[in-house]
Amino acid sequence: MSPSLAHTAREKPHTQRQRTLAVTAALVVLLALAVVSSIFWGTRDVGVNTVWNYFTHADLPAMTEAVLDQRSVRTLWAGTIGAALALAGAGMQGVTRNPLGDPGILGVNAGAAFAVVVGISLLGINSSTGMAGLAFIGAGITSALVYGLASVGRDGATPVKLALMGAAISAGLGSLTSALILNFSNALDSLRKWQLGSVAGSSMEEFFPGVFLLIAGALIIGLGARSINNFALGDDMATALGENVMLKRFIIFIGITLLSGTATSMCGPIAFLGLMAPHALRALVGPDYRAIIPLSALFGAALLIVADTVGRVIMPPEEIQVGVTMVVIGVPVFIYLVRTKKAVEL
Amino acid sequence: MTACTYRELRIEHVDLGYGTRTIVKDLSLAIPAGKITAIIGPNGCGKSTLLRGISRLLKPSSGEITLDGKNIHTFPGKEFARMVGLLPQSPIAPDGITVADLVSRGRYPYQGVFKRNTAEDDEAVAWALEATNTMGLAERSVSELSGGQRQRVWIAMALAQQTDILLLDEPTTYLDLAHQVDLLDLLSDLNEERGTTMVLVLHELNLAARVAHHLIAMKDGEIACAGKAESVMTSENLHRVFGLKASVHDPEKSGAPVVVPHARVARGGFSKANAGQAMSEADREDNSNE
Repeated sequence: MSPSLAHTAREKPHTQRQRTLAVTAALVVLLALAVVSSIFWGTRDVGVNTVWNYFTHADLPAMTEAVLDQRSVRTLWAGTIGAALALAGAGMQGVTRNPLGDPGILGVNAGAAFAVVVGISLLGINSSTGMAGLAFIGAGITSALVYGLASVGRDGATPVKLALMGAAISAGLGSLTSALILNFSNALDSLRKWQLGSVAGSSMEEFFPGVFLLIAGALIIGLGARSINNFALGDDMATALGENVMLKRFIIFIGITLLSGTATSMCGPIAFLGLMAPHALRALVGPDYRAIIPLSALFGAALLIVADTVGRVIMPPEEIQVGVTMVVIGVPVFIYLVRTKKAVEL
Repeated sequence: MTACTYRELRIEHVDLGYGTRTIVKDLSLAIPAGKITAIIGPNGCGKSTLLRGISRLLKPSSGEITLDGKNIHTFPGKEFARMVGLLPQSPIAPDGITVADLVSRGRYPYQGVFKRNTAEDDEAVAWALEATNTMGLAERSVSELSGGQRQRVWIAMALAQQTDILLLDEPTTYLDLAHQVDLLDLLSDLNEERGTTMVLVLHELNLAARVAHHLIAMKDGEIACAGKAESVMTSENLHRVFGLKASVHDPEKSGAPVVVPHARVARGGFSKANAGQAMSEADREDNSNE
């Protein structure tokens, strides 16, 4: 074979690589801007000098420093949760070969909400730590149940069975949650607040146990990128390429559950991000999950930070919860990206 | 590209099926190394099931399939995938994937979690594109290709996997006759150049006779007859296996006989004389059904 042929074969990945690099650079800039604006803006205005002094550890009034501390922690939370949800969404879309894949499909959100309501109404739990724990347990049990039921039968947990079981269990848990709320009206307020998703009361202490689980989940999804690429070719082809489809799918499923369960327990269910981020990246850089996965994480982080910042500044002194602003900002961005992709293809 | 290693693929007293339903029963055969074997038979005879068994998509409920004397299920996934490749009946191309990207996915068995594309991978991809005459399509999106081009690209992907044995499940489905011939010629060339052992499931009898060195006719999960095309493709066998009344000719004396199904004795006497009437009757029936 002539060297020029090998060169031609490398040509395409080359242009695609350039595109991926450009998108990566854009996302890094976006994330940096999001972080800076999140620290600048809020219900209390802070000058450029003040932020500079804060980062250079110069002396600041205690009050200002406390505000900036709180904003930094909040930004860290929003970024981490955003990345986690985007990763979970990417994993979910890959494992189910379903472009509408979202951790919500596995019943994670429904399971977490149900556990929280049970905790509030029947067990009298009301602390945020207690609710986070319950949400995590609920999410974990639900996704284990969904996977277990989907695994029954000859083919194991196929994408279609996973999606169906997830939808069925979600619907069932949803009505149980409603039934409990109707009978324990005091649960309604707490649940309503929890269910919108928020990073408002976040603290560094509560950040730590969860973040390890998130890192574990992120590693699983990140290292599973090639396997997810194989799944995309169909189970038969993936097997023919030497992939242990059932085992890898199960491991990646655990990664998704760790990410979405932990994120939901930390901030409540934040909708749409997990669906949107990987989809948007697929439109921008193509179907290779080795690019989609890390870039989704960047995009998800930036987007949730922006959403949280907007929620803080849009009608001071009130704050709008990030779960709401996320969808309000996310939908137009998403529609724009999907439409642009079409324009490029035509 | 380097020549293939001849590997001994044997199927010994194998039962294959789904759940409690056994489709292939106590089947034994040896696949000739370095040759093209075509499996033919009526729908539901178990030919695709047999191919699924050979490619490890289906585990035999009894008996064993061996590669160089070792049960195929004892090989690690990637090691097996470096020796035996499969083109399934309906593979899925991810939305928006380019030809070069798809073909390079065939290199997975040679890569590790942290091992990036090597020059060897690039070379194998370039060779596969060249061999299937798809180099010019490398940058195109797979979704915008014609059926014939797309099938060539899938074969390129299987070639990039550089296996000694290649299994193809009805690779010519959905192609017109010219493209079917074209594709099978491509497989013949590859077999000649590299010595790749190929096993094809084919529906088209004339094409099977044309491409295969070795024919296996299956019926009801068992081998009805096997051997060279001229010994398998006889009108007696066709009647026995397919229930087809046909005459077999070899106009070019090439050893690749041609099957001509017997002219149909028209139901209700479909002759020139009453053709018009029959048509209009059929039309009327259609209308009354609406």
